[in-house]
Amino acid sequence: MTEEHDRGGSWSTFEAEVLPHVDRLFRLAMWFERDRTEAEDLVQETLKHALESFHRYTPGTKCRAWLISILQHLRSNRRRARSRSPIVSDPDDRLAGTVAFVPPVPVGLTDEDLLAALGQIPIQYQEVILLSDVEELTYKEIAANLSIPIGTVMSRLHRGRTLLRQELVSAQRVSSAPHASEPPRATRG
Amino acid sequence: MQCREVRDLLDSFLGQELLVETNLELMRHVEACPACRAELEARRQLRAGLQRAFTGADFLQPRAGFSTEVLSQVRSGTTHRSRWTSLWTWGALAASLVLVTAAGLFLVRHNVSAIVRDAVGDHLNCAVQFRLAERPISLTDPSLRYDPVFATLEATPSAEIATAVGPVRVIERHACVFAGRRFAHVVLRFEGQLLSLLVTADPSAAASGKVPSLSWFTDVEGQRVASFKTAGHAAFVVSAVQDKQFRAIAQALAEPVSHGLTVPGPRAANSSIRTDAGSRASTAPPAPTLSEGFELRDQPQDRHQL
Repeated sequence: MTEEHDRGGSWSTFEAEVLPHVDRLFRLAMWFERDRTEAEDLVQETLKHALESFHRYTPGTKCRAWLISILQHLRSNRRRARSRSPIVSDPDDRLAGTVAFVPPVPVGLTDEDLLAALGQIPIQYQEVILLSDVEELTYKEIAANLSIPIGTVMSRLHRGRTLLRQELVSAQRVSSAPHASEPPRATRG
Repeated sequence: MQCREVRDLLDSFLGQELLVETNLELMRHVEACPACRAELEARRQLRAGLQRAFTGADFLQPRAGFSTEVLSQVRSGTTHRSRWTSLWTWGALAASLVLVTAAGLFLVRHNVSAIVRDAVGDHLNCAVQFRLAERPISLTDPSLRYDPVFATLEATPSAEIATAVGPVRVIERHACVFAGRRFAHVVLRFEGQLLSLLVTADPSAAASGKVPSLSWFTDVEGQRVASFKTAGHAAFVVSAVQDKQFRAIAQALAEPVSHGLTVPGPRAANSSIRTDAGSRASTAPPAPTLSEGFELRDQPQDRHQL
């Protein structure tokens, strides 16, 4: 078997494993970057790194979780480079006293309501909620992705979901206020 | 199972994170409890709603053909140079050239130990260039897993340190790994310039008595280094700030850090979790008293440059 053939074989395996996840990767990147060029750039970098380290990937394991972990790693480096923002080990303590009440999930929410409310909560909580509820990663995978302990994943999920529900309730109050100029929004369940 | 307990577990249930036995117990409760059943359904709908909203939102969709285009670019190696890649690559190339040349010249002239080079490498690759292979993590986890002394750096030095040349501010605290060596890393800023305070296990290090001595290196890969040892650990201050300022800052940092490392906090002292060789040896040294100050000891080969 020639080296060229080996490379061709590796590429087709890589492509077959990765291609189904590219759109999902883009959506995640787009959500966090809020800039199409940056998001495309981030996905491209992710795939480039994935190809370079594809020999470390075990076929049959969860490719999406592996790709997301690379994307998160690159995102983290970029964020640090941009802002030198402190790595907040756990902002939960700060918020612990503010999320004791878990409001009921409002009825009649639109997709826009959900995304708007998600965008209002701190980024640490957005991350875990998206990775858990949308990408369906396990707690263990999320912990590895974000380099945080599993206990922190669970506490962030709990507090993040509570904050999300509070945001949804607030949004609904605003939209249903008598002075609101907009007509009531259509609901999708 | 009580309602409160069930509510705590509902999201884990939906995420299929519970043990089979817990699942069964929870389902039994939900079947019998209309309120918890309603709550479960609400959470299921919220989760499904998020998935639907995220997958369907127009502004999150890639443009047509993006997947195949980006893959073919990656395959051919003709990826357009991203802003980041370009910036980092050229910056890294230029910096590497300068650093490698400087390091080469220096190492020929001076026998700098590997641990000092690693500390400088960590400062340059983590604090300055963000090029570490592993993502830095908070100090909490490694302090529990590997080295309880790391917990000291969570609060020491304080967020702002008054020095003889002006205030120095902490901008980041984390644990990172460079060249296989694990560091507790505090990144600081002084007048726009970065400094690193790095602490790592050093089994060969012995406390030098009540007054730890600072060693000085004036040019390791273009950086100034001040170091001191406590039993089992070595600490470094690394930066390219001017010599006079660097000395004042290093001395201001050394005092509280040395004190913290030799008198670990309650969490470090109480930790029963495995530590490495360095931290095992860290309980012996006497703490320096604040009034004793520090003995300043220059490296002989560098003294004339200071």
